[in-house]
Amino acid sequence: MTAPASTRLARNAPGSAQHDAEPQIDIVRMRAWRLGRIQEQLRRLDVGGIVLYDPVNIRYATGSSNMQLWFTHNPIRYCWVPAEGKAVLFDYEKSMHLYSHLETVGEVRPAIGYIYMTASERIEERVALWAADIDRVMRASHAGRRIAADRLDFEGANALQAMGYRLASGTRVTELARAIKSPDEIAAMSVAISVCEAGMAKMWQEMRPGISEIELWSHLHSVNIERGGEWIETRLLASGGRTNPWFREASSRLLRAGELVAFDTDLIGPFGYCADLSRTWFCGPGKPSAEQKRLYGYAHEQVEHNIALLRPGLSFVEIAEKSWPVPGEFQARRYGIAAHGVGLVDEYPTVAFPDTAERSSTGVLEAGMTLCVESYIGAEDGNEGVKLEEQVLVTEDGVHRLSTFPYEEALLA
Amino acid sequence: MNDLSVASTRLARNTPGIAQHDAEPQIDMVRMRAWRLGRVQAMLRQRQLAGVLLYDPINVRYATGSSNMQVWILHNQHRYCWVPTDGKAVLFDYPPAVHLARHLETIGDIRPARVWTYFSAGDNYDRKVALWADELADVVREAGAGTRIAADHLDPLGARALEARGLSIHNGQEVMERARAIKSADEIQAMSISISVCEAGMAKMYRELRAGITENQLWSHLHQVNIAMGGEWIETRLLASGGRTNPWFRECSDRIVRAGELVAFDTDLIGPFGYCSDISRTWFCGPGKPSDEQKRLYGYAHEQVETNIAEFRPGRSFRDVAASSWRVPNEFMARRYGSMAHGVGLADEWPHVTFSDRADEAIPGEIEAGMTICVESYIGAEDGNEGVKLEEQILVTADGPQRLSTFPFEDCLLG
Repeated sequence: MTAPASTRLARNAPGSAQHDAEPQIDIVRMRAWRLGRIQEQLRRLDVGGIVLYDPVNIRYATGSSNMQLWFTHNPIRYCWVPAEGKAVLFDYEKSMHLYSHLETVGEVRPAIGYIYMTASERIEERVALWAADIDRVMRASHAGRRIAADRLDFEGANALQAMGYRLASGTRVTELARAIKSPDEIAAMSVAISVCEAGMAKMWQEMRPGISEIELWSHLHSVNIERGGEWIETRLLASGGRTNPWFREASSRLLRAGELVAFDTDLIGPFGYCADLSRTWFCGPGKPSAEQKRLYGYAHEQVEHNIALLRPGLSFVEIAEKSWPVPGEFQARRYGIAAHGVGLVDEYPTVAFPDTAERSSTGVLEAGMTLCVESYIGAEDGNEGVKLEEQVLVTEDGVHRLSTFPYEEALLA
Repeated sequence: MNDLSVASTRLARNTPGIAQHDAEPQIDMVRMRAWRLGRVQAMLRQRQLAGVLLYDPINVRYATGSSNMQVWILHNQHRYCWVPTDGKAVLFDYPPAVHLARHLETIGDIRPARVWTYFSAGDNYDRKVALWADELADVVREAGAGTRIAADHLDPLGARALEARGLSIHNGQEVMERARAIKSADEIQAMSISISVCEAGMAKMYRELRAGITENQLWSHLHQVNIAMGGEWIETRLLASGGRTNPWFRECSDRIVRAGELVAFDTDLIGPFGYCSDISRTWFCGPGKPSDEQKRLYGYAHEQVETNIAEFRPGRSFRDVAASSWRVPNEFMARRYGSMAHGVGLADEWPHVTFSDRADEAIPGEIEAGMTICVESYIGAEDGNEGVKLEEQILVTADGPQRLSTFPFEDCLLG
């Protein structure tokens, strides 16, 4: 199933600790590549610069990371990336000491927040201060009036527009930039997948009748954090009847012997890279039923069929058209998409199904893109369902399998 | 050594279990959801708004009780909710997961979300925004309560599209923060369970703390216990040891803890039912005994937290509370924490209370019974090696503060 050529990168995933003699990820080069990708998109789209609020985008552009989840829903840390030159990081004033060393950042300034939680009745006053401050910074980088923003609350957008700025879509800039990975990024992602698979192996050892879904899931968290990972995006582990339909999150339900257990890791590991793998296991003792094997066989076929399609130059619509046609009985509950990009988190592009091919992203598959290839197989009148997902890199020489955790022989047989 | 009187720990000591029970008194989930939706709608009515459009999954959970891949949804706007001033909410759920919240009595209608992020819509986002805005404008009109709506977070593209359809958009964060600020008795029980889980994780870390463990390894125990007991995520990774404790806000690393060092952390934990447990402690890693300097720092931090907890009484203005709060000694001013105290509920919340020397800048308003507050301290000198972080979570009542967190302070650092 997996030839040596297709697993060469996975088998050569480096360690994550510093070493004086081994080849390592060149972090400075990785940051330069990523900032360069953003600035290339800005110039291509004729945008003078971009205001970033999404902590994942700020990390991509500058390499800085600060209480990422907290700032995801408290937008009071932001960054200005001009089309030329270094970024200006507006950091939380009490943590401005963190990133003065980064070569991607020309200046660290205190952030001016205008969310109600911190600004209370002074929102208008704070928005005015915020706008005047960032206007000075944007003028200093000669950005012009056409700029982009990835996420911006309407109060801030109104203030910038009143100053004559025109706002272009910022996520178009960041998603297109992030789509192509450098070899350093692939090595970092590979380390994240090694950590994720270590967590999966721990779950595999701990799985037994009587353990609850949340107890089983806790081992993935534990291994991820212990090994330098950061967080997990969802809590998608379900057992027995909770596997169908998909998207129920982990609960206190106890596993029973003879049941399927399915999960989707959605794990943000070391360096902030995402390892997004899905597996479905059989909880013994006992043997899988013919129906469980039938579901698993379809899911496996879908993932492997769709991986085999991937090559540079095909449009996402074409890939969708050629993708595995989901049998009628599984159509209603199939996964949302056949494949999606992955990097620091889930990313552009998305690939739909043969009958909905036009809903795929615009654009063409390119070497350097990393994709997660998905399957969910569960019938409307079925008890259980199977979720599988693999993470791959597209190159001119074919597809590299970044995830290499084995499928289940007992369910494939 | 903290003031854990019988009266001030009554709620903590009577925290219920998590599992359903046929005979014990339990949290009334339906009543909790009704209280929260009612709070949102009361705020909307006061402000003469037709309703609020919610994108923050924490606000969606507060208003409806529904929860779906919360962290993923925080940065992927694939799910939103319309809460009208009267009647039930309309949940626009992640399309493949519209089956999840059907049973909730707070929700009148579940529809597939219209998604216009670049990740999902690609270059079709303009067309998708138009479809999104058409549908939402219809839903607002059908509610028949006017065209003034609030939104918690909304990208400019969406705001423009709604404005073009005759709606005016107002600040929804204010609506939601003011609604969330006052907790019902059910909410306090849910929060108390979350704190029990958090303190169980802290106890696990306490047992595992030893010279040679890395910060990451130590921190992993808090995650493991939280998830195993039904908690959801941790907002930050604030655990640091030795010199990484000063200045504060370095997140955990693979640094190896040494004997004789301080280890400080801030849990920022989202536990069962989505309630936040935001507790900080600083420990001494043995073998050995804390230095006089370590004890001096700890003594100040402890004094700050305990002095300030007593300030939180209903009816006092935020300004008065700030003005009479503990004065941070000059040597620790530059590196003190960002606020003296802040609200807490489903995550960190309004209000933020400032320090005595900044009382003039305090926000308007006053402390009310039913508010839950985290009282903070960070003590570290600019020329110091280490720092101490402490934080307690309390409930404001007419009879004085209830201590919701009751994990002990360190005798060896107080002694």
